[in-house]
Amino acid sequence: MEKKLYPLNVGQMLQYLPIRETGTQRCCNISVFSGLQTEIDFGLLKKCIQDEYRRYECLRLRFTAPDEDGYVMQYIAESDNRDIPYLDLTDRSMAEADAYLQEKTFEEFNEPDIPMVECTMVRMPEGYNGVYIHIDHRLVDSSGLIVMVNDIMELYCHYRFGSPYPAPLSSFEEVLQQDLKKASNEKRRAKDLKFWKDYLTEQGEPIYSDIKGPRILQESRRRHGDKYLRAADVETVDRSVGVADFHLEPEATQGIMDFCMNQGVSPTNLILLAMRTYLSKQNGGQEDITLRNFVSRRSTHAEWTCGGSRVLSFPCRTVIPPDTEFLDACYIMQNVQNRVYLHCNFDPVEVDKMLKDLYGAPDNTEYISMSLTYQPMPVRMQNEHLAGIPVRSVWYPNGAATKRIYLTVTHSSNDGGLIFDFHYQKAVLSYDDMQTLYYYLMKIIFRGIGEPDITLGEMISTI
Amino acid sequence: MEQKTEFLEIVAKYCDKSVEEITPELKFRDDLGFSSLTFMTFLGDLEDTFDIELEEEEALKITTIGEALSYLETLV
Repeated sequence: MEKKLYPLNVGQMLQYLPIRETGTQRCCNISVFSGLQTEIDFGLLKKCIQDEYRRYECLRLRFTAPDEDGYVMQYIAESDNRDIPYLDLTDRSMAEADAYLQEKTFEEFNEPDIPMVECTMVRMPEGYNGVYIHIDHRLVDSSGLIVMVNDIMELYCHYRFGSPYPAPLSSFEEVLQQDLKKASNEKRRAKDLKFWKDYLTEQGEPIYSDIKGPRILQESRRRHGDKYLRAADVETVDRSVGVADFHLEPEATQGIMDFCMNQGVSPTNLILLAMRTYLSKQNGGQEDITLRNFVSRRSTHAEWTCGGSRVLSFPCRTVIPPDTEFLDACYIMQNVQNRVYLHCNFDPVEVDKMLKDLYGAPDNTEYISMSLTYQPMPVRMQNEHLAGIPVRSVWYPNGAATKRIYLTVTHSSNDGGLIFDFHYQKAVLSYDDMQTLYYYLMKIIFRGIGEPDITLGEMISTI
Repeated sequence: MEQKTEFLEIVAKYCDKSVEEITPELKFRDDLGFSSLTFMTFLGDLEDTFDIELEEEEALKITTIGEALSYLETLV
């Protein structure tokens, strides 16, 4: 049967471009271990993972060799009946076992027309048993991966405990067809294009801000011999990644979620506001701050369970005077984000190119030092048969930090508390920098939710 | 009538309710669980389906199904 070829959607293209630029697929890898601290029937788990290859269409995605312009097409293999390998790491310490899985993260899927995912059943130290998933980011984003892990666990509970067979997952192919149809809607494209042109021009050229203060921009100004330069140099040579994780207790997390619910503010916008307030503090009260927000474009039922990469990112720029009250600033942030969300089907690569064309910043410079993604969906063992069993979910970085600071905020699988996971460029930042950043983010958030009428100026001068 | 059905079918794609269960007093955020992103994507979907131009400020004031339907009727 002839395979049906499709282009990548914009989310997948965003993941593919670094592969095209660097010539290596490694920067597009996601690797995660997810397991439970309990005995597992690995024969049954194998059956569940094999079922998942049938149920979750995106796992069967393959890519063609690049054409003469470097672009690939995708198709869905009809079946994938491979065996599932098993790995016993119980003779190691947890740190050694993690180091081993971390090393596997660097394995590449470089050939065309091959499976782009490998699932391995793993027996880890300290009684954790589960699955290690090594996968190309074009097949799933973090939401897609969580859907997959939860579905495997539901299948396991069905076969092991007789709980209901989970509902079918939606078709990746059908959603992709809708995405491509939307992308070819000229009227929609014209609206989005107009919005982004206005958005990028209405406040003039953005200006860089950094947790290290204004000296980073000043150094770039000196380097480029341009005292008016508003973008700073990006580290492009040493992209090794550092990781700093911080866990916020469930009670404190609940305080944040209650504030968001009562005030009608999304957690994303609250965290973005805290990030921009800290940058403002570190840069002499600078009012004009631009961040980057990554969103997984999943809104309909079908989009939630179809897999694929639907993560897009756009600049989030706010100019907020210091006499603005914290709660009002939350709404300013929310309004900006809402406007962006209405036009977030647009290709983010094109937005970045428009920005570059408009203001002519030198190559390898950026206006943005911090990026955020908030993931509301936890790896959650919803099934009653798994309730109370400790969960271990570890995301292994792929070794390449393309962003100076990338903060991922998730909910812990164990207690629902927030996890702040900072990935940073080790060449320019340290763990201590992330610790300080986290400390101030918490200070800003809790001062703000406790005292919503405090002005940003007062906040900056007193925290 | 056809327009209302089409509208409700779109809403149903975004939440855990069937067309029959979606009533005018239901709130997008509190009752149907719409996030900001979901709501804005939904508005974009309305624009494309009914070939209309929403006024962003007006659209952002909408909180219930009934309000959305009334606003839609003024545009189609």
